[in-house]
Amino acid sequence: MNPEFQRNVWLELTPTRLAVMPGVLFAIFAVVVLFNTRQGLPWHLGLATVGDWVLLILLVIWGCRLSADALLGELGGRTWDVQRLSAIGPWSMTWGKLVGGTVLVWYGAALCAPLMLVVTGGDVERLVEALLQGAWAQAFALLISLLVLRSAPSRVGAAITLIQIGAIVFAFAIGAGLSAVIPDAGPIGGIAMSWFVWPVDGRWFYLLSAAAFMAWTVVGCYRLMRVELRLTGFPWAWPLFTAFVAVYAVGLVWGGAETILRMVPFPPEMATAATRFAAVIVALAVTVWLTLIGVFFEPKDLRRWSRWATALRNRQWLALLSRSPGFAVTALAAIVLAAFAAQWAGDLPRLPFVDATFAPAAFAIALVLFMIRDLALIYLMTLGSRGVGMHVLAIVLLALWYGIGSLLLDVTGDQAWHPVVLPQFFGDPVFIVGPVLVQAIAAVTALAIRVSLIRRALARPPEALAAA
Amino acid sequence: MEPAIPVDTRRRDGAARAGGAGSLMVARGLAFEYGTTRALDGVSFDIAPGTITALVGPNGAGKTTLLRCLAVLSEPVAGTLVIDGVDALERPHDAHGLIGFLPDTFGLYDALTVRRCLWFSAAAHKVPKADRPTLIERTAQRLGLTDRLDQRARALSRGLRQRVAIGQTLIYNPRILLLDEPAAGLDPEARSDLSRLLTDLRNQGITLIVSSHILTELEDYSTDMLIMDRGRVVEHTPIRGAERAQPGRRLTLRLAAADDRLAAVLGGSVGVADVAASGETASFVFHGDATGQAALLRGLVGAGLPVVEISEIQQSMQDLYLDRLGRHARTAGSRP
Repeated sequence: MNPEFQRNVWLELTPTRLAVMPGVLFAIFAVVVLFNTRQGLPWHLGLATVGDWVLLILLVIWGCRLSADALLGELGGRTWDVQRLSAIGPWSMTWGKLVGGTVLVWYGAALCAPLMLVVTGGDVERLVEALLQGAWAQAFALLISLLVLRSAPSRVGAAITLIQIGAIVFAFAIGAGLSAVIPDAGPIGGIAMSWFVWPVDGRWFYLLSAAAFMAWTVVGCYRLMRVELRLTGFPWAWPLFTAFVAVYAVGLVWGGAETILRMVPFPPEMATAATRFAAVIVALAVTVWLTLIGVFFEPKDLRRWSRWATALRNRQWLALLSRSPGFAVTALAAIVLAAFAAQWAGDLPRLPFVDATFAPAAFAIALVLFMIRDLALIYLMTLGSRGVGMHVLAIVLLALWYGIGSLLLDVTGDQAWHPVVLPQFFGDPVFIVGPVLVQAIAAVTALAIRVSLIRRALARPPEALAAA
Repeated sequence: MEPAIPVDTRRRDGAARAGGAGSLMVARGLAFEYGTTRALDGVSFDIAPGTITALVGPNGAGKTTLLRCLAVLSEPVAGTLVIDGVDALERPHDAHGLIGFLPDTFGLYDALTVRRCLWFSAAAHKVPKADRPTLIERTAQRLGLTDRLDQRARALSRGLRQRVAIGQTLIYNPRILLLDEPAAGLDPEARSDLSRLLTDLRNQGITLIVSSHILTELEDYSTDMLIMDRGRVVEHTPIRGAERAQPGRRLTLRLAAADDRLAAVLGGSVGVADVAASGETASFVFHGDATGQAALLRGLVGAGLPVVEISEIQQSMQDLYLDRLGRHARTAGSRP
């Protein structure tokens, strides 16, 4: 048996807890039944709702805390170093903590599940949704804990509470988010929608989507665990995840476009060109966003880049690839997608109701230049940083730039400055691309200067370094 | 430019040796930083198998940081580290199987019984399932924990908890054991037990590096001393009599009455260096054997000095430590 799972089972499933859990659950449901009986109501009235809440409290609220504690608790107990020195592999460590650390709440959920099926008249989807929501939130809590672990927080309890709160918010946000992109995903779903050209049942598509993204979150935990255990390997996970999200999003857009095109009779060649361009732009946007998110998942230590440079110098291509971060691969993919988008933009039909300044190719190029600028800026701020402070600052600055900046421009109504802040679909291509090109060159130059300064400082004696 | 260390990059079983001739651990140019503070600066040394190295230095010298780097728990920004032929910085996970690391907090799961602590460590290091019960009993016996096996770790004294922690590392038979301040917080009896235990471990073939402030205890069992100050190695030397690789022996000389010529005559004698004379006494470093020492005595008497006594100064580990650290401070202070 996985020793990490076994250890967690020893610690979590004590005889007392095994006895108390069914007792508490029985008491909660008994109170509802007793209340209904006394009021002359059907005995099972409201039991399903109470069951939903019990599962939410167990799996999301408590489960997220246990999941974060399974990792960060090791820091508090000063046992993490001992674990890192062990021969437990990253996958065993990941599921040992994720399943083992939360085994008590899953024990409670397993006790609730048959009752839920009885009182909901066999509504499997409702139960699966609750279980998926819990599992995904717990995996997310572990994922964030793995990121926070790098900064070795001194107040572990506070960090666990913050992660727990964040994961609870995440659990509600993902429900709302997926419901937004899958219109028929709500509890009364069952209406057909299309993904690419295939009609799918909205509610089951929602559940499958949640299951797939939960699985990717677990893969993310596994990859971050590999980093913690100081294992290297090819950066396949982030590019594959990006490809998955891109295909997933393109499928939704494609399905939507098919629906629109059924209603609006475009000539077939125009419809194909428009759908193809929409697909590549969506894939590009997803790839750019996930590239920027991916930067925050990578450690920013200098030694890693030093080894990367050594492999490049020695033309050791496999070593070079294994030392490359995942976001570098997706950044290259974004550049390729932008090239396709710029190429296919030329095939787009000129429609009379579309503004004559429509410049889709310039938009695609500007999007990639914004990505390059932001990558350089994030690295400029976080290079060599072990804490989360500079990472948070970088996120805040980017949010301010894109959020407040564009809002201010909307308020002032000054169209000329828009290309400075956001990639634009309309306008003179030179003014769409020019400002961001200048920004990207400036950011990359600043990063190159910083890297050069750090390298020089490392070569100097410590007194000089401290003074620098 | 860091000196190259021959490394066997193919093997994963830790069977062959690499690095300095006969060395179990070879560190070259290790550097580590906390922000802009350099905690380790060009640390280089070799550790021979079967030794106990006392890692000493003032607070903030970088001892714990060095131990964490040697355990490949912290990644240096520069340098190389080879442990039993494994490039530890390139293949940390492989190196971890060769290392036992005992932090000052021990790293125990307090809610587990001693038996389960040992089982977890054995299982986590892939000790075959069938061997675990025997190994647990044997390790408990070796550490005097047999009657504590079913007690929770939290119920034990600090000394016994430390034994459990050592047991957790011994159960998977590491090549090298790193201990950070193992004697801190122990009562005198537990310290004495620890001293015996570490000597036993060394006799069983385990190489140890022990960081501590308590030099008198380190002296009981250490074979080598690695002195650190401000992130740099000040000295790495054997501390057992003839093994000591000092440039010479420090001798002291006493005259029947003060003589102004003492320093000049001594300074002009063969094999004599670093003379410090005051009144009727002097101390100096002598490079030579017993015959050379007899010749020196004849020369001094021949020069008319009323020599009463020449004897070797037996430096304790603490004397050696203070002497080397003082010299290092003076050298560092005299730098422009």
